[in-house]
Amino acid sequence: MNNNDIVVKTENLVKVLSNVEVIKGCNMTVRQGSIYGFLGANGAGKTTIFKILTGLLTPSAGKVEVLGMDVTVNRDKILRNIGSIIEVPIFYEHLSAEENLSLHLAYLNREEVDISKALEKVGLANTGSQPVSKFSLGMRQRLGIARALVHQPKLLILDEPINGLDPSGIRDMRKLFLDLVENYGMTILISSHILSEIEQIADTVSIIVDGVVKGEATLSDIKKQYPSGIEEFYFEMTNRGVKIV
Amino acid sequence: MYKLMKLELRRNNLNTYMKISMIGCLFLIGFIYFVAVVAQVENEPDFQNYSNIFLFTSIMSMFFFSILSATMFSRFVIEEYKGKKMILLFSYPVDRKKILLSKIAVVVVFSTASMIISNIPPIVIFSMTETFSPIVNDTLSPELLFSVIKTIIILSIGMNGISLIAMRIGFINKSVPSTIVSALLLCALFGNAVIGSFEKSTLSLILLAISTAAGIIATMNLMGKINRIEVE
Repeated sequence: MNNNDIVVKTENLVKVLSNVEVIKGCNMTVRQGSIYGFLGANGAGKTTIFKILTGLLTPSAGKVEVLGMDVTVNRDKILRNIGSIIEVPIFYEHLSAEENLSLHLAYLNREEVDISKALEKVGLANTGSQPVSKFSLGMRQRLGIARALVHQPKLLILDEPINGLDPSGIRDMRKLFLDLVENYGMTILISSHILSEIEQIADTVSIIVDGVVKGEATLSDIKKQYPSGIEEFYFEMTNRGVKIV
Repeated sequence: MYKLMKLELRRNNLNTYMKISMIGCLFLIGFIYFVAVVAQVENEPDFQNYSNIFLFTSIMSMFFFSILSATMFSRFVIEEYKGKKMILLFSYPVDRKKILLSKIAVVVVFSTASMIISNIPPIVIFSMTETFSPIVNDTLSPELLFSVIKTIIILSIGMNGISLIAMRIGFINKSVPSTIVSALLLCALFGNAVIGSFEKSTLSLILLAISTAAGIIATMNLMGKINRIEVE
């Protein structure tokens, strides 16, 4: 594997929160141009790892590199080149979708970017001056995705991005994610509870159990070993803790 | 920094605070006449001179604008660093300290300007009516008016010190009521100290220096805290 192809790399990552070790020596590698599915039960540590990758938390030990840079040293440079949804997307409620994205771009020093394209991609082109406070859960989730991708980042970190979306919304986002990787060369790191969704889009999958990455493998390798699919792999990892890499 | 301040203004509408400042101005006009008339009716010697009437009105304006400033800090700072909202601010590739400083700068500039501007109509209107229909048996002089302006500037600096300390106290529990109650208590303390030291300009300057230094220390301390915050 060429090191230049690695977009995210963690080595023996440890995070202690309130004297509890929530991430216990996590190792993961995300390659450029891939969709990396991150699976785990609630409280397993998915969001904590995403927060470390986006500089919201600092690692207690271990090494974390995003886009080839140490996240503890080059936080601002990394943030310019990634887009993220962490937990529930937060907005300025009294502003419209366009105003929210415009403000986001101003903080990124990227005012020249065409906002309408991003809104169109997520199906929010016609929201006009409607304030975000009037948006449904699904619309907010779509807007969160639009904000994450509006500046065309190299890496998208999406924590449960399809929460709150209806079936057609899930299908639209699935198409969008595949399009972003195929046509824009983005890399997507995505967590979800919906195993079948990850199975449809991801090319690499990892399972985290109680702060430990139990398995990281390509989807094709998983399918060779577990012909019935990702669900069997997931329960094998979570129940037995067998490690395949 | 200037750009960050402009972005703060895009996110937070100042119209409401402008309206409140105008209400404050109207209140001060009413208050200055109230003090002058009551002093005459009650034959209160302390308020039968312009110097004390203006000082009392200025201190009242400090109370009002300290509360306004503390409320703005609650909205601009405390609420934005509360709970999950922090994720949004910390996702920008901008120094966390600079974002906080831009918020503080917007509030300080606005509340200082609105306190000074809101004090002008009460003084001008009251002085004008006193020249042709006096309530108070005293003489208005340019020296007195100059001294009033100096007092208002000193109190507006004190007001910023008070609201910055109140913001820091409120940030401990991330509580809006704590911020406003702290501002009220600090105002009472500072207001009394100003009245007590009014005749001694050195004491007034020492008070000013103390409140400014305390406000700066509170800000620096908060900057350090925000820089270390982990979004759990």
